[in-house]
Amino acid sequence: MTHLNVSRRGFLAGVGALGAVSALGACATSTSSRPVATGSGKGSSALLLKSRETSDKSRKAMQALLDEFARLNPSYKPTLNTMEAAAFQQQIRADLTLATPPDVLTWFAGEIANNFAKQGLMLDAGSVFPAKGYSEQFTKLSTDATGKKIFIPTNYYWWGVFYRKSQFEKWGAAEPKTWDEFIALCKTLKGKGVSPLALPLSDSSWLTASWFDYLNLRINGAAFHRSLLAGQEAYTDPRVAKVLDVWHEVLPYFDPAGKGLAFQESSAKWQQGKNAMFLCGPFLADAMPADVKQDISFFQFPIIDPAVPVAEEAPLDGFFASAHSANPEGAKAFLGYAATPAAQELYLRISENTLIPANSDAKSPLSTPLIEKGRAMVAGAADVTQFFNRDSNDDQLGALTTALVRFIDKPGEAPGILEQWQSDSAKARGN
Amino acid sequence: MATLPKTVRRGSRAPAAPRRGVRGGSREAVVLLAFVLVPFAIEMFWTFWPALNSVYISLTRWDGIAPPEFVGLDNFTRMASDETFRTALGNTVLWLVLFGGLSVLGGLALALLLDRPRRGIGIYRAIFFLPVVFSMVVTALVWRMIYQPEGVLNSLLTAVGLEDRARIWLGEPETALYALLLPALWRQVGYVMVLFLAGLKTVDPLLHEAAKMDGATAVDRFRYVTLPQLRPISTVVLAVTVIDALRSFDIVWALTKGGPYHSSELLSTYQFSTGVLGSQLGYGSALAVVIFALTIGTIIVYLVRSLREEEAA
Repeated sequence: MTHLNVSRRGFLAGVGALGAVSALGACATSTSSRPVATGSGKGSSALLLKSRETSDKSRKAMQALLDEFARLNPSYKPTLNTMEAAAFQQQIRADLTLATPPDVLTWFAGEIANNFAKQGLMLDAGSVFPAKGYSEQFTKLSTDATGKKIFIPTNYYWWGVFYRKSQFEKWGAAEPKTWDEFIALCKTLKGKGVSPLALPLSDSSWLTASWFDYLNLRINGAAFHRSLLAGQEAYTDPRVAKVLDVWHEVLPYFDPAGKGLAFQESSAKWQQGKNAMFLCGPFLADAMPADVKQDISFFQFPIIDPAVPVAEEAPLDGFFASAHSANPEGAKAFLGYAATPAAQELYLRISENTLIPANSDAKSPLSTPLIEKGRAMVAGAADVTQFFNRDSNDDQLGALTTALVRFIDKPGEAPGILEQWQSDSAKARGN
Repeated sequence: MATLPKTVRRGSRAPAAPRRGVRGGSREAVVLLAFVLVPFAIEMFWTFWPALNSVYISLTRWDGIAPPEFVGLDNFTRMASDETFRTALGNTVLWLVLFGGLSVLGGLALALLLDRPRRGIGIYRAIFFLPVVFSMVVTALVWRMIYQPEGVLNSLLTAVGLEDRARIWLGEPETALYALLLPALWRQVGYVMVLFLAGLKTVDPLLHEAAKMDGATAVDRFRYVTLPQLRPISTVVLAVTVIDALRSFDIVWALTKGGPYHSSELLSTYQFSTGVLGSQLGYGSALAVVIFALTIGTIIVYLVRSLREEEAA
């Protein structure tokens, strides 16, 4: 008798599968035709925050933020959904076009956010964006092309040339201010048998972007940098060739083993004093022991042309709300809360990240000389950029790493490399 | 146990006697139909439908958010001028030839060596088969340590006085692809060996004895006795190898991600970094379509050829 059950079950499954085919059919690319959520109904008190902060402490901090928000606004029932960052990033495009997207999401300022805004996927948060507290630059970074505030910055970090104080003392080295001092320092260190600069290319070739960004910012300035990344200038421009020329001067001071080293291996070498300097963010020391963390300092990327206004890279993280949120009022209420100094301090106190709160009225709850130095450097900058892929996108970053890793390997082929870069970049842009 | 033969008999009889099925066992016919239709529907939905969709997406320009824009064959013509695509295609062909050729030769040689019973033969077979058991990502981790700038390989070279031959194996475009080939072969050879060992078990020892009596040398016996009898298993080995070669991805992704600057890029890794990590879903799908066509094409050509040979024989 069993086969009868099998057939019935089988048929049900078959019918179900066929039904699903017809229901879901032709939906693989249909993202434009979808109902706009009304914002009323039974789901309006629920609030879903989708986060890509996966570390244990960050997750706890995010939950604490939601709990505190719910305590202040008892009418909302927020829930946290954490997803691994790479998967989060891949899925966000699909998430935002869902019929019921997550209400609030973690994201970063820059070109991709602007793109989302252009496609009408981000909720106008102008009504909750604080009138004061955010610097002019951060306010600009939170505003889309039409002048809508679409992003609430919560914290940022900075980039600099990191070194260990005890090692610098041992070598008798001092922080260089200018490019010439920097080259002289590299030369001295190499003479002492230390490889001056770390750059792991095995799994972190994207780090080449930090060198390109800073050299371009120091030589050609932030305005040119932005229009280059936006595709309004070409990589075949002589100004870009100049960047590679200047970089060529320090290529002999990079650790030659870097080509085959992963980020962890390279940062270990830096920690042991085998590599002296590392252009990086403070996340470099995230996994290092406390005594090492106290021994760490950084200096501002050396000035090359004093006539160019100083710009710094300060990648800015924060929240935005989905335009199709079922609960736009709740989403905005949360964004308003996340913008307050209290919320930003709460998050950083629990997450213990080496990050700076974006609201200038907020204090670093776990202030260290390192953090304050970073904060002062960014505050003193005439302009702020995000980072190559945040100011463009990951396809452009792919074109950059191809070009720059090849340049490091074969600096003599620079003209051909720039031509290839321009062609890759244009293709990835679709023109 | 008692019901098993009954089911088998029923199932095997039904197509042979369709009239009985209609009269006495319409229920059986329904079950049989379900057994065909349900997997077919599932296969349609989970495999063919997405595949067809990606063919459609390959004709569009789509970033995953905005509505896709139909561009005809633009994505395919773009490949002609895409240097990275040409590198990836060349590397894939090279990979197919080297990975396929060497793993079949190596696997066959090992199988012949380890076919004859002798002391501890099981241990040797197990040693060569062991890499197949490891996950490819674990394999990659081990080989990473071997290839590191200050890793096992360079230390060995230095120890024997060949330090000028030491290089950054995975970080230099001249060596990266070959450095990836080695761990891939290390694994595949064991797999092919097992397939051929199974094939060798079907070779009739009497034929060998007869050939020996007629004065055939070892080479002759391999050429005229062993090889012809390995033909059926060779079809399987070649199909498996071609498929494995064209879908090679994990070892490359885990060790170089196609770098440095695309020098070890295969079509599979290029497709992944364009269509999955990047936002060029149209172009990425077009690349996937090309990989699909290549795989299917190679296998169809081979199957048609071997079927014809079988018919002729």
